[in-house]
Amino acid sequence: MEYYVYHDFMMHTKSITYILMGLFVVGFWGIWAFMTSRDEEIHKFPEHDKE
Amino acid sequence: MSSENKSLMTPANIITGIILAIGVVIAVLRFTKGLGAITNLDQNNPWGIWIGFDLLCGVALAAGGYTTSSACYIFGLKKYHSAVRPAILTAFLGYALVVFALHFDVGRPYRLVYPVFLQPGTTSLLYEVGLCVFLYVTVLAVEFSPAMFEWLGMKTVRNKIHKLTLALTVFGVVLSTLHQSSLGALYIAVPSKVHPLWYSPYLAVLFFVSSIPAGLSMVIFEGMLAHKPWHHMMDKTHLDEHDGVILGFARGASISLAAYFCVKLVAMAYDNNWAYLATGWGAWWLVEVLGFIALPSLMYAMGSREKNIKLIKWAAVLTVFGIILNRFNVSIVAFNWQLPAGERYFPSIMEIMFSIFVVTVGVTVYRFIVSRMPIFFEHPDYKDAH
Repeated sequence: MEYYVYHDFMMHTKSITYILMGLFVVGFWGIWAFMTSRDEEIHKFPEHDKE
Repeated sequence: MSSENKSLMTPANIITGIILAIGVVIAVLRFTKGLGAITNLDQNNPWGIWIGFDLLCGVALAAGGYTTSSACYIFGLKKYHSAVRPAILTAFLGYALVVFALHFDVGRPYRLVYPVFLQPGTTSLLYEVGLCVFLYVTVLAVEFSPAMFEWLGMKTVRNKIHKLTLALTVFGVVLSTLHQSSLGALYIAVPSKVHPLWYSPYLAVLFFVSSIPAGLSMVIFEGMLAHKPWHHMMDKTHLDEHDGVILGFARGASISLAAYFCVKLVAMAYDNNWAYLATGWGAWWLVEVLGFIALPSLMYAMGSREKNIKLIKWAAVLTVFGIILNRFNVSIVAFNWQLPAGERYFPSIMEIMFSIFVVTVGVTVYRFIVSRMPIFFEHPDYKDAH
């Protein structure tokens, strides 16, 4: 890809960075969900569960 | 020969003695003949493995001190309390050895005090690193001292210092944040020397972020090494909390390694260095990033999910080696990458032996301390005094 002015370069690299950031957010959610999927459920309101 | 003398003549002690003797000889040579006589350093490569390994790796792997103490005292995760003293000890020894090794690496070691007391170069990153390391070694010495005072039976001093714990922890986190990142920032000054795949304006962020999994992994790794030989020194609380510490730290290490991976990719995207991935350097970069960052992150996540301690320990080993590899890549392997092979730096045998000597000094002092002081157990006079 050719860059005629610095703005072109910044536009290109920033765009890719923003796309990556979106993927990272999803990835972090995924890794956290995977890691905690077998944790025992925390019952914050046990009296509410009984009802 | 008495039985006490006999017990000292173990293979490990003999090897330690030989290494220490060689180290002393190298130290004498360094101060009598100069750096040129025993190192392969030159004008192109003024910083060798004494900086790349002893300093950069030493500081990164000593990050367990601030990560563990902040988890326990700032975030209130008291279930990790039994890991704090071993982590503080490792950090203290790590930083003390960094300063020790630095005395051999700088041309005029008696001038190490200049930047702090005589000529503060407030615009220099090295000044910031020097000041932070000087202050943090002091903080770690004070943080470690209650164990020593408990051992010596000096209750009053111990209790007074113990009251400073939270303030020292906060100070330690601030100082660590500053100098862990500044060590990376040092290399921002040489964009034409570090290979683009390792050079980034984000080097400071990369060094700081990577120090977190390095510290957490080092605590797991050190616990793994210490568990067998000092099992008899560990009290019930330490042994009971051991698995919980590993599982909790594995989660922290997995997430922080994932964050490190993301920052690595962002740094790559920001400089548009994707084309370099198709070269030999790119293959080496991928080995580091996929094999020593992404893989241990997944191993930690899987180990934490399955409660698989063995997998977590392997992940810790990979992470520790990954951090060492990264610091070597930035400071040595990818440094001056454009020079012809004949002008590239490779450490001399004496430089390597001296680094082994420094690590051996650390292990020897560590063995001396944990065999005597309350590191893996709570002193009976101070049970539940935390």
